[in-house]
Amino acid sequence: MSRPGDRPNQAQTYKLVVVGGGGVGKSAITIQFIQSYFVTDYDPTIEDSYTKQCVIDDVPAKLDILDTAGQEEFSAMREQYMRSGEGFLLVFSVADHASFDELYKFHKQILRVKDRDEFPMLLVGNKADLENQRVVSLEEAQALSRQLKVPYIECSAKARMNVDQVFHELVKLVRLFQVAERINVKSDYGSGKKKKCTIL
Amino acid sequence: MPRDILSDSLAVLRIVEHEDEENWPLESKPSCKQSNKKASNIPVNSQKTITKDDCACYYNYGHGENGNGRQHDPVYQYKTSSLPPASSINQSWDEIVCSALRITPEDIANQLTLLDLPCFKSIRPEELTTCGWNKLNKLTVAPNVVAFTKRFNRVSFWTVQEILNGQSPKARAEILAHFIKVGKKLHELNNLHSLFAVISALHSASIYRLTKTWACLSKKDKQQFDKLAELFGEKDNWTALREYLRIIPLPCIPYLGIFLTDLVYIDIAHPPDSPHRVAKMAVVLKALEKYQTSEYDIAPLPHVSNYLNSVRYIEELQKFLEDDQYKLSLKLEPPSPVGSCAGSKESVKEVITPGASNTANISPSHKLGSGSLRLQGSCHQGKFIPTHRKCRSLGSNIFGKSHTDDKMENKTPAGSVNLLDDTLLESPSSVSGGKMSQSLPHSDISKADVIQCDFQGFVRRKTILKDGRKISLSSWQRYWLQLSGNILIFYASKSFKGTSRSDFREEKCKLLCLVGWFAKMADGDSADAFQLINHHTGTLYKFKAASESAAKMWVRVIEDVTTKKPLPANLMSFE
Repeated sequence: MSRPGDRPNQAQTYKLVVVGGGGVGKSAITIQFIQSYFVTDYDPTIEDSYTKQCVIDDVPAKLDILDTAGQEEFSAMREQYMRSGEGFLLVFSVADHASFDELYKFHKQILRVKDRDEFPMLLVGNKADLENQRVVSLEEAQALSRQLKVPYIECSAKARMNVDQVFHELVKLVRLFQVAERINVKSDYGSGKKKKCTIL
Repeated sequence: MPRDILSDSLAVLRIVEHEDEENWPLESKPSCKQSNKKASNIPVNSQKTITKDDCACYYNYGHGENGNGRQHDPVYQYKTSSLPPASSINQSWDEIVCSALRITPEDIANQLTLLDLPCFKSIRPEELTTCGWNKLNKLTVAPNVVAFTKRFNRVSFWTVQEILNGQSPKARAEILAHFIKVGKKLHELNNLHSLFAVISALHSASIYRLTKTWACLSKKDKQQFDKLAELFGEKDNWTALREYLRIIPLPCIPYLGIFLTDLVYIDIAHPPDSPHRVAKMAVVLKALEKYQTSEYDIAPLPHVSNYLNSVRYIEELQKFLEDDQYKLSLKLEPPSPVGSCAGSKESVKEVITPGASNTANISPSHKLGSGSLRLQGSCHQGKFIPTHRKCRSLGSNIFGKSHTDDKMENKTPAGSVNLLDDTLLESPSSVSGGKMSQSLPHSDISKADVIQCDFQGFVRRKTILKDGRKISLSSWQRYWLQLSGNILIFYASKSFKGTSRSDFREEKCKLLCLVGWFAKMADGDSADAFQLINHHTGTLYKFKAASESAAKMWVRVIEDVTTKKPLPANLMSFE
């Protein structure tokens, strides 16, 4: 998956964005994934606190995760950071129905910013360990998944269940999408160039 | 009597200095003379009969109740030419301040800062340590964080709305440039909170996608915007912003968001029983505390802060308002094949070089790539270059095309705005001329053939007031001026000196219909100076003729035309 002009041994960077309402456990998922275990001197303010190298489908990848946990209410800056994302985790808490309802809005906003009909995204139901507090059923989540055409996965940051899978699945989606785009781009490029010629 | 009105408006409007002559490229940029000439062929826009409701801002947030003050606004001037405009000149400030363009960037930045500061300073450490500002009980546990956040969203929302209020790409680009200047001032003030709000607005889907608008922005403004936006790139955990906050001197109002994220992470990584929690949080709180000691020495301007405070909406409806803004954005510049091509190019870039500096890549001003300058040019001359979709379909028959535009506009006045985007790039004189298009058969003007000439000569012209606003950085422009019927025809100069006809171009660069104008000698100025005034539009040009007698002659011949009822006969003969 190395990109043109890259050294072959250098892993491609994937910019993944975690979106979702406040209190759904976005930060817990991210931190579980990045750290694998809680370290006492974790510092969220340093440059590489949100990056991780891993191997997905035998291909190395560097994941650059943008998680704006805590800034949910700064809704006006959302579109700006969405623009740079190559893949999105739409996170809700299975114990909070409002957080589930909110995802529709995020989904629409991402497609709008990306100016696309579809984009690599993954629907993530967090806090799956809280089975007795669950208010969003699996069926309900799967229905939304079908409606938005976004795959669904459940996880628990607390129990460290499916956390790595969430990110790995998303990277796979991004890869598929980029391959498809590149094919489109190639067939598109000629016509694009042509148009430019008429402009100039 | 007319002079009274004039001095009134001058007194009021002196405060609102028009710093940005560049946004009137037809007025001041020599490079645009070509397009001047062509744009002046299409005075159709002033003929528009768009109703007040059509052109009043979408929601009218924070604007004067009846939108009267809009009539000062160059963007609105020609749209509302059917309304009695003169009445607004004597309005009080509160009514006049109804658009961001009416306030200098410096005043906006200053007053935003004055409003932000107390809000920021009132945030208490307890609000932060509980991490409750996005929970259901946020209003009780973190009221000031919530209020400060709301200010951010409001400023951003307002910025988007103000830009979308511009009807043509050029008008929007002017507002856009205005806000970039506001951003620059906010940066100078170290008010990163409002600066990020403005930058976010320009990065919003509604504004970012306005390719035509961005293409009209000057290179300087684009660079300025890119520079400011770089600071807020999320790359490497907001390194740029973090580094900047580290070195920034007080006073400073930081962007609170990254501190909130850091606190949330500390909260997760260091649960309440962890020994490091308190120490880690203290580092964040201490940094914020330092910024909270900031004091600004800025004089409050009640009329500006009242206006800024009047920008409100119901927070619960924000989502719908954003949707509406996006719909308006789509209406103003509908997605085009060309546009989506640019869009896909952008993402190609992202796909192919995902590791490259993102802030640079994603800037809308870079969307146009290295061709942006040329595209900028094509925007001014849009009508005459077959890049315009419509132009392509109509072939290269320029004159035929302008006719078609005209007709289409009459059929669908509201919906055709976008088709007419480029036609709105009129010369300033056709804006202020108001009724010119009604009486001017433009296809004739465009033919560079024999024109009846009643009087002509060398002049220099300087814009003093434009649409009720004082132009502070106006310069003298040299023209060959012809009076033909009731129309003044301007020919741009070929070189920096010379006062004879051969020193000026053959092609007309501006037309000014004298209906509504009156000329007089400029008292107390040099003897060769005279003024051309339009009280309805609040426009005043100062002219210097070759000599005193020439100036007097100009005043007399113009008076002859303007005191007479404009005769159709003139136009007939003109034809």
